[in-house]
Amino acid sequence: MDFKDYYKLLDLPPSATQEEIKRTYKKLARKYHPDVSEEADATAKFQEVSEAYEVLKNKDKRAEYDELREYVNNPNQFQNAGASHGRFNSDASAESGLDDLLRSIFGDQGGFGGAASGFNTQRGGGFDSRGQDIRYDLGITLEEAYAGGKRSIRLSTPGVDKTINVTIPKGVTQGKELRLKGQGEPGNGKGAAGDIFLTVSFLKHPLFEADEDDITLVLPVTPWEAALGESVEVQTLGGKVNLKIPAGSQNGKRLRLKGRGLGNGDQFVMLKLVNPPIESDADKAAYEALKEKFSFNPRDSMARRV
Amino acid sequence: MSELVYTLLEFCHVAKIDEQLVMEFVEHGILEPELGQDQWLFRSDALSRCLLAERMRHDLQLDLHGVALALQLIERNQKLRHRIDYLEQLVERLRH
Repeated sequence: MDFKDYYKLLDLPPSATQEEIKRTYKKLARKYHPDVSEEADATAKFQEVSEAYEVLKNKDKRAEYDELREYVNNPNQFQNAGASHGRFNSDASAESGLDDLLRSIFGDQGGFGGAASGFNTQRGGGFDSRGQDIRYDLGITLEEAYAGGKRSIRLSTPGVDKTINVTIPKGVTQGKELRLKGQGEPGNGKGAAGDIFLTVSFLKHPLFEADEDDITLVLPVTPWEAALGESVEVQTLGGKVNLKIPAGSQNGKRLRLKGRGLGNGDQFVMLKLVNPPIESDADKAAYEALKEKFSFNPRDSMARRV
Repeated sequence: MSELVYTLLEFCHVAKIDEQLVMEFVEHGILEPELGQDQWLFRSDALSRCLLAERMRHDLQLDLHGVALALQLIERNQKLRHRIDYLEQLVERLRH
């Protein structure tokens, strides 16, 4: 870890008041917070900004950091100041980025002041703390979401490497969170194990689009099927069903298959009219016959609107 | 597995958030537990909402009214994003 100039990170002069530091932090936090930001590397930037603020918002930590910064910028001034390094060992440096900064500059030996213990912060809390939760994005197919089922996934984190069996509930929708209690990282001491949280996301399907619990299928039809009506076979997540296309249907018409979506959702079938290509003189003649027959101008309604 | 419910104490434990704060979240309508037999019951999807609320409160230093508003806007934003994704995919399928 390199020395970080927290003032530069916040774009503030080292003489900034506590009030200015607070105001700038709030502004940058709104800009870079991963939950609200659209910036490309929001997470990393927010981490830097909050690390800087954690230190600078506290007068003691800030004083300590200022001294350290002075040392980094003018190391010669401190040549005979061995004794004063002990001051970097105060409690204020624990549990903050300052701790890591000090270590990066003076090394992990704790050679100054003879008191290394100040650095040995117990990461992740006390002795009986609960284990870390594990978060995982579970990509599933729409068929799996529709029918439910079981799935084995391999989880590999620093604390856990195992295969777990997940039950996918029938009718689950995008973004739903599944929790596996006590299967996360083991706790410390008597602390309970953490949990596993799986967030459901849908894999792209060759035919269907999901909108919450509704499913849409775009169905190509011929102009005469749409005009005259026809009963056609369509795919649903639960298998094929017959759908009656009403006579006089236009392109984009939406028909509903009730209860054929996820859970209580429906399936919608959107008609897409496809003209047959002309592959022979006879094909061409058929189109020309249509042209002769209809004195139809689909742009009439546009003319009336301008 | 999907529809676990928690009592207030369980919920605080799992979310690692102080009971007092969770009660204030409820007061501000940020969390809406159901009332079962003399006690609050939190559905499992309240958990991510609670953690998001705590990040807004702590990281952005919002008061709870601000947290409630931020959550409302974030969720509306997510819904719109999903809707746009869905419609874009649909347009693609209609074109090809």
